[in-house]
Amino acid sequence: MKGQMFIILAIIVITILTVLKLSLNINNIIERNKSIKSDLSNLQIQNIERGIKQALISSYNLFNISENVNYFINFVRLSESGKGNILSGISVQSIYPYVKTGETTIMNTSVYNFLGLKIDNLTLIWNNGTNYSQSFSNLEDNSTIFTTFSFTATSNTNYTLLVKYIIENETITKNITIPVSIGNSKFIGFYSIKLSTVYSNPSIEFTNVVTLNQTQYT
Amino acid sequence: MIKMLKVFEVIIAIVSVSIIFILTYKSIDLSGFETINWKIVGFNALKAIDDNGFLAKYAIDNDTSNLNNFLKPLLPLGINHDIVICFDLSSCSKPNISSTKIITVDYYIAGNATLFAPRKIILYMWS
Repeated sequence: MKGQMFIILAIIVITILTVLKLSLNINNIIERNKSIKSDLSNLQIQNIERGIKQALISSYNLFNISENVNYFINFVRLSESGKGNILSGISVQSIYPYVKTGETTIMNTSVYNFLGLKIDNLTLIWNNGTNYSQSFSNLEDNSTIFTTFSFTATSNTNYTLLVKYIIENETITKNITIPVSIGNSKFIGFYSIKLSTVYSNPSIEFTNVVTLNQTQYT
Repeated sequence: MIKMLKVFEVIIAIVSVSIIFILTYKSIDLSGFETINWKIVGFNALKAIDDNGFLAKYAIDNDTSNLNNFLKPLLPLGINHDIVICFDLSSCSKPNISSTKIITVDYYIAGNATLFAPRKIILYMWS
């Protein structure tokens, strides 16, 4: 066999290898693998969202709904940190008692910082026709502030709670609708959560409104 | 001289094929491809039991036996599994499994309709 034949044979083999590689579509398989890993992170954050909603349901007849939800968040957060994942976010939870027409109602609000960083400044702007704001400074990670707002409703309406916080020179604003209905007591929980894993960083935001039993919180 | 040239051409052919082979296939890393699928399957199996309300019920009762029975038909054949339920994070025990191909799936629950009881459920899968 002539030497050139080996070169020709080599070219044929290289062509076959290239065709094989293209037909196997290995890059797509690798991309699919990454996508599945990302899907897993999405499933995990959905599980956390579901857990928060479970915590609300299981605490329905209790006064400490907010504390239980925050306890669950912290439970998951600690567990995930053990695997190198970071669960971070903020929860803003409000609860008001049975609303009577024309009477002043006090709403209790708590803000739980689990962003993993200190909130330099937090401003809560309560809009019930007129604006009323409260500011807090240096809200450390894994800490909660408690405050109250008041309103006097004569009919069913939606008020707004604007949450504005500054973290590492970045200002973030969240707008929470507080539905008020005469003759009801409600819990309104707003949650903004991010799960950082080696695969992806999915995040979710959701608000859960629960109408409470009138006899439990009057 | 002609013989040397022939040998040289053979060497070029072998080296070319080798280089192309290495360059084409060296970056393929499919490690964990199978086990990541296990994780998805395991997670969805736990979610299915949670949808039916049995996960919270048995996790609160620390009934791993019933949970393992529920999981069996939901997981692929040939894959072994075991459940660990953690009441608090310092009390998570580890089953004694001797396998190099093993994964874990973590799933959280906060309780059932009447009881707030956060639990971490760890599903071990191995072959």
